[in-house]
Amino acid sequence: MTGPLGPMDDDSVIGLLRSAGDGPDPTQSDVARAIAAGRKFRRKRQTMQVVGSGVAALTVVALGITTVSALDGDGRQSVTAAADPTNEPKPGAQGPAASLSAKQQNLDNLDLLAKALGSDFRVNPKGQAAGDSTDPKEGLTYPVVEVIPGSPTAERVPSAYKLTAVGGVPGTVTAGVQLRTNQSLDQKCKPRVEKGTQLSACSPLPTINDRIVQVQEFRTEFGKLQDSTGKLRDAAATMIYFARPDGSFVEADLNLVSQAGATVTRETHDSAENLLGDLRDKLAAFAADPKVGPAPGASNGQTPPENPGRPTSDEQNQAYLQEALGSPTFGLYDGKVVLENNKGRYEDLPSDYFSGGASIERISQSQFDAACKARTGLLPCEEKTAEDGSKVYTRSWADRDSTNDELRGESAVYFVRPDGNIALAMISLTSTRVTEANRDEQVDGTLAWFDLFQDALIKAATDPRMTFER
Amino acid sequence: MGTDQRTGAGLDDEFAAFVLSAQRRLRRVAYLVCGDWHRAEDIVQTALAQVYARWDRIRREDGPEGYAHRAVVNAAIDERRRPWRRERATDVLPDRAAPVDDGVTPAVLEALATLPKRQRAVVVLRYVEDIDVEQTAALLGISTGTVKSQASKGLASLRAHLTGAPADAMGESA
Repeated sequence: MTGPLGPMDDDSVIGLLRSAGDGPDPTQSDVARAIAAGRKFRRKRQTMQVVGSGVAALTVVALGITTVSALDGDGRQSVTAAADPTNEPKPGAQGPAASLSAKQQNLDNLDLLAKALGSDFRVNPKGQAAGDSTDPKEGLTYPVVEVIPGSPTAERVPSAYKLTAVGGVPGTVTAGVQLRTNQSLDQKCKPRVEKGTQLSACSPLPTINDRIVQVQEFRTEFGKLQDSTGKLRDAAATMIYFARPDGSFVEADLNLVSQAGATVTRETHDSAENLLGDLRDKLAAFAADPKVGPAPGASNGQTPPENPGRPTSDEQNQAYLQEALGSPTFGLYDGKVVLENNKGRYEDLPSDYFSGGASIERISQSQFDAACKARTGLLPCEEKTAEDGSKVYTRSWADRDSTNDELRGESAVYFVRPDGNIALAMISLTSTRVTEANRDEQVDGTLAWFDLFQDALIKAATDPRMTFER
Repeated sequence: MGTDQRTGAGLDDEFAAFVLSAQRRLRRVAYLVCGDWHRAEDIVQTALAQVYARWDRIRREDGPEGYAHRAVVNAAIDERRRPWRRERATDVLPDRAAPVDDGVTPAVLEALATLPKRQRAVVVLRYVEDIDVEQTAALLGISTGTVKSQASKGLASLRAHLTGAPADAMGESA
């Protein structure tokens, strides 16, 4: 075994680390940019903002809010992703179609997509402006499939909503921000819950050609998405993925997003979701169409995954826990429940320095006994009765660590399940800047905050859908 | 430099001094943890924006350095966990300072990328930033024992990747 740099001691390794991360000194323009972004951040801290329109908007909406990392010195969006729409895209790496102009191939794919969606749709080579809806980049556009004005489908699109579609093989086309990602199908298929938006896990769907595609839906909770002025916004999308024998996959996205000036109501929200549902099978037919280019290369010998991104039983349990605790206070990322900063009931915490999460797991009898039985200096857990009559045991604590001025706290619910498993559902919090002077106030505030979520923890711990693998 | 009523020119000047003194270090931390220079730039800008937004409060308490470090490390770890946050359309590639290219960086980054993300953060904070065990533990929300063990394991793994020697032989050759 030979490393790239030859023998060296620990000091040499550390020296390499230090020089590897070095860069130029900051300048006054860095300062100005930081101040501009900071001001913007301060204004937006408490306000969910919708940015974007069409495909670009959906991606951002799916993310919930603008991150200040995307704001340049003028407070405009400008990120360094390799996404200049004026660039000629790279052709697909595999298959005979690789020699075809990637831009033409993209248009050919969109033409297929428009046909699959029906006669109410057409390709608009400049249908999607780059940038965001509040600051579109003039003259820079993406080709998309759009609904033809006046058509029956257009009549179903709520007023001032925009319906667009894109499709192709991710990494080989320019159309659609989402299609540029280098995420694997498995990564794309993971569910997420963030700031009032939900991205479902993938689920299999047979197409009219007897192929199996994966369906994923992005939805917003009605009333939870607002722009910086507090006006309601709305977004929904359906994504279809089709795994190909060479390991690549086709993605087709249908996006329906409210534009500036839209009046979002429960009715428009529901209409948008219904319209996407009605177009789902047509979108799936496109994704499974063998004519989508570039053609796949030789089979990699592996069977395409039947259930990409399918959550493990533990990930599914965490999803149920997040559901019980609720969005936007708690989100779900990569199978973990996390406290969302500055969202929902975060503002009820006793300071802005909290971080944390929640989890549910199976524990052993001895762990349960150690945690809940009375012993010297420790009272037993409190016994409570859940709504369904189940007996649960609870314990909450919070205290300051004087060595680093941190506060740590946990709120735990234990439930001996009928199958003998003992479930522990728990919220864990940490906070900084907790001094001797403010200790009592911070501890009391934390314990009071735990009380807000105890019923939800009990509901999760006693949820019969939870499964624990021994 | 512009000001507003809440912060005032004096506070902006203080913040500017902080940026000029701290940004290079923060960017190095972010870069080594996330492995992407542009992402590191964005992470640091986000952290600095958060510091600025809370400047009046932070400067009166423990100071902005620790707050910014925590924000950068958490974001660098977080950005890796949520790469979809980066998917964004743009037409403008802003001017970016490039990292120093000494010809060795790719190998170092490749070796760092093999470490679990928290272990990577521990190694960067302890050995690159020279932050002590207690403070590293506080920044990452882990115990001091974990910091010690992760730092030791991380450094051994890095040496193994960079030199080709098996990790378990490191103790003898160090």
